[in-house]
Amino acid sequence: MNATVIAFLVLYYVVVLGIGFWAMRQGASEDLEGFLLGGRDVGPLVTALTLQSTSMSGYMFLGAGSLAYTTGYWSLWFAAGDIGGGVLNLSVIGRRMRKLSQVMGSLTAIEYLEGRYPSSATRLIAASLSVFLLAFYVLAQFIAGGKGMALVTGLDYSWALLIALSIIIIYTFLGGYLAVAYTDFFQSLVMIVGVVWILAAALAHVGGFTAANHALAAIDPTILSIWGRGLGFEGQWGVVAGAVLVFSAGYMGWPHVVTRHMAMRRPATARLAGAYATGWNLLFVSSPYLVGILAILILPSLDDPELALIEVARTLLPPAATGIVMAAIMAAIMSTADSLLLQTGSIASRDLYERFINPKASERQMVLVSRLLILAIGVIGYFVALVEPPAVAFVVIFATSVLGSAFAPAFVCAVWWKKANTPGAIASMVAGAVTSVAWELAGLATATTLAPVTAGLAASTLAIVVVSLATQNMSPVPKHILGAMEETARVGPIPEEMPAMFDFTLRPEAEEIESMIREGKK
Amino acid sequence: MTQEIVAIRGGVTSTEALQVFRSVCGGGTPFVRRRLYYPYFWFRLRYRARTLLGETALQVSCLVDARTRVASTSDRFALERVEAGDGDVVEPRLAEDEARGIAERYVAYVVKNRTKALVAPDRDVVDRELIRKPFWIVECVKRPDRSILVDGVTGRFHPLSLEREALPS
Amino acid sequence: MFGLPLSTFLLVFGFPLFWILYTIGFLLLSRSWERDGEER
Repeated sequence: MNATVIAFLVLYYVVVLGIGFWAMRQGASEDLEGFLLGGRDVGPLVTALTLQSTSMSGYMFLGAGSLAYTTGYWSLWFAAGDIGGGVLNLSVIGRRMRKLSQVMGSLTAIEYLEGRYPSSATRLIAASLSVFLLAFYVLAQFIAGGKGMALVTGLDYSWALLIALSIIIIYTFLGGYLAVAYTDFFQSLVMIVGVVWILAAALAHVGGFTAANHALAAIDPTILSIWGRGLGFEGQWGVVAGAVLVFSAGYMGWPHVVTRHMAMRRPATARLAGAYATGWNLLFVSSPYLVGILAILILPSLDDPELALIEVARTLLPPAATGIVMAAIMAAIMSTADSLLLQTGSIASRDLYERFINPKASERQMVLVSRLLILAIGVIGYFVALVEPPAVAFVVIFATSVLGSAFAPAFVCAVWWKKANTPGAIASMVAGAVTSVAWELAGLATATTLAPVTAGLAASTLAIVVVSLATQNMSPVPKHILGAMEETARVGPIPEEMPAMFDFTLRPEAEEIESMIREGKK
Repeated sequence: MTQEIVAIRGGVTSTEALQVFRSVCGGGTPFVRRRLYYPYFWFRLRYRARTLLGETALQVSCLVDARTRVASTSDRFALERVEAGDGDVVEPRLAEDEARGIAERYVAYVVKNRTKALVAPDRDVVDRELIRKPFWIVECVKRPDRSILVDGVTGRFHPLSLEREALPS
Repeated sequence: MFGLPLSTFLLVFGFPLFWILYTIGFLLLSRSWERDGEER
């Protein structure tokens, strides 16, 4: 790859590093306290953008293009669900989860599950599953980073992988002061500009959308079919349902996504964030698939379909633009990997180590545990990615299938169904995880024409309903949780005439004083 | 009996509290039932961390509700010593050590969340005190169920949902 | 349309349309949430 591309890649990092450095200096001067901690939390736009950029990147730039290049328009089934993933998530559990987690005082998704379904088994199972699957998911980012780096630098894959992985780990260890909301936001913007630019260039190159489809039909009319190239999935609605479900309903099982709900400034932030998420997804989600399909025309004999998007960029964009787009891709991959690694590290240190191994762990010991785990993931990830790298799309779809199957019903029922109890939730997590993993390993998808996520979600939903109902007498939902759920269901008690000076933050005090007055009167 | 307590200086007078009631509740004749001093543990925490780009530091004020255990970061405020009747001072239900644990955990969480930091910063408690914040309880003569709690510092309010039978008419 | 079979056309454009309508419906039905303005 030529010098211009590398120059722009370097320039990009100088800008990102500069933003981080500036933010850190500001932080040191104490005046930024308000920005970091106070009332000026990130609003709905930044919430929606960073939600996407920190969850989908490696998949979007490598996995989606590869799926589209190999299967044609069938791959759009994944986009069909993904476009609505954000708004579905925010509309179904966003507001209620934000409120319930606040009422229960939980800080992380795992604590929240344990608060709602009280039992240390809840935490043990949820935390172990999350650590394992998030670590697996990071593998996709490592592979994507390695391949991208190899293409940019022209280095051998093994070296490129090592460099990409080292950058990701170092970035994670220093992360904090560099990857503040500003840089995430900047990266999201560059990503969306990059992918839309590639799509526009590809469309211009092939003479427009209609001409492209006619040309594709001339190569193989089944590329245009909704059943996959060669009609491999014809009539397999269970597989199609899985493709639609995995990034819509399955998305509700990602601990690092639902944690964002809990961090929303106000429950109502879910509304605007939902609108922004749809807007962003409409622009961004389908584009890489369409580029992958157009790549069949532009680059008919690609060795590695995962590089479809990047190769199209390299072929069609001017070198400077390729540099910026490559930088955006690498940045997105790093941002995703960094979020996932931090999340995995904090679940392992807080929810497993502090809770079950060393309850008196100091902050330092916990950080050490996080770092050791992240290093271990890096080392193991390096060898797996080197020896037998699985497809990025496979890793992402598989991890999301298992996470979604295990957690989505538990998260949804947590706020919507008062009868969902601890045995039900535990059965649901186990049934969802075991079913989806077994389905994949035993290759049952082909035999039954049901995707792992379809089978997994069915199993976990059935489990939470049946087991909760069967154990109502033995293990009723505690009163204080029912009370919290009722509070959650209520939308603010503000009568119409009371808008201006109303202050919700006084609610704990108000409730406490109410109960004091009541007791005093008795 | 009275006692001396440390309270956040509140600029809202009882007359102003009545005005808040009138502006939001319309008709009826409001009266101030009482002033309450509600307890919080206040901690000023200082964080320092070394990064490749140099040292960074951050000071955070945190208030822990000494009865409900709810923690929040706070803006600057002025403190004063006041004499208050025993009946008007709400006693804490939380030990200071426990409150400190809640504050440190809360602030560590907030800092980590905003910065994505994977460092263990040095942490000192720069300042701490059991403080109280004044509140006005305003009721309506004819409608005892329409009472509100007015924050004596900000003048903002929250309704109190008291059943009719719980209050003398 | 656009040289696509009808089913594919619906897949490419129908789902986005569905989600746009879903989002609009969500925004309309959740108007009362704005009153749920607690913080902390």
